[in-house]
Amino acid sequence: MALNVLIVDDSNVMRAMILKTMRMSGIELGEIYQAGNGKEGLDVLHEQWVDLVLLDINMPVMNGEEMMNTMRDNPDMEDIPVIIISTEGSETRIKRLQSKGASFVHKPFSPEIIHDAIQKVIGGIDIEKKSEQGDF
Amino acid sequence: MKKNLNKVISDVTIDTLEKLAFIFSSPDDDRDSMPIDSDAVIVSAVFKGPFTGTLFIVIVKQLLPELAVNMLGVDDQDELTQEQQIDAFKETINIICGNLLLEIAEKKAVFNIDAPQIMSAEKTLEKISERKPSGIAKLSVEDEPCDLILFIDD
Repeated sequence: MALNVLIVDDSNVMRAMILKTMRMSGIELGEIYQAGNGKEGLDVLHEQWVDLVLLDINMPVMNGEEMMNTMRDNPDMEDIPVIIISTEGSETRIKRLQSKGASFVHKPFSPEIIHDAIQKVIGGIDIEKKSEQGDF
Repeated sequence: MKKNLNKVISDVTIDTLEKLAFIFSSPDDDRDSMPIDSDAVIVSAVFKGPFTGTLFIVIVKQLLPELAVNMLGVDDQDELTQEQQIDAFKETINIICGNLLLEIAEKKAVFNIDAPQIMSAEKTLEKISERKPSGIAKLSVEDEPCDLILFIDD
């Protein structure tokens, strides 16, 4: 199954790095959407079918935690898996996000870490590339 | 807060550069601090939480494209704009600062890191001459100097 993924991060460079790493991870990707903050991310979710959200925390306009809270309050979005990709180190904040169903990946990250995190939140669905292997 | 702050800054930066950009670096404590002048590129990140402070990173201009090329995985630095190179440098300090706070603060501490800023040499000199830094790490990154200067507010 090819995953439609929304990457939400205020840094263009970090969004490009996340995408590069996902391509290296051996996961079959479908449509990739990008947003620079939580509000833009919600706009994408209102218009596109997305299987997975990769979300930064500290962003202008609407941060990742606020976006996730809005998603969990919306029946159309509440079940979309979320992986937080952040430099966040606070156990308090990480536990709060995990209690809302998010997985957590700490920056910097490797293709293996991204692969394992996605496999974990997607569950038993086959998301491996069929035609080529990942680069790790 | 843990002791030996200089070593913590050095270790976190070496580890982050390796994982983030596949760039290998090493401590270079015996050299003089880098001159803060027009050849230096300086970025700062202000953090706020149980304690507040600012981290500065000073590199030579030549390191900017190499950092961005490695982070983005492009083949040729000509593919990158100056803005992308600066953004890559800003993202680097953001991650180093986050990982540094993880090492020096309590695990439950919540910090917010402001968006990193590129600093002029004049402004940096003004800031760093105000008081003694809490920690300094001098590194060699791909044979080029790189200094990290940490200020923790009283």
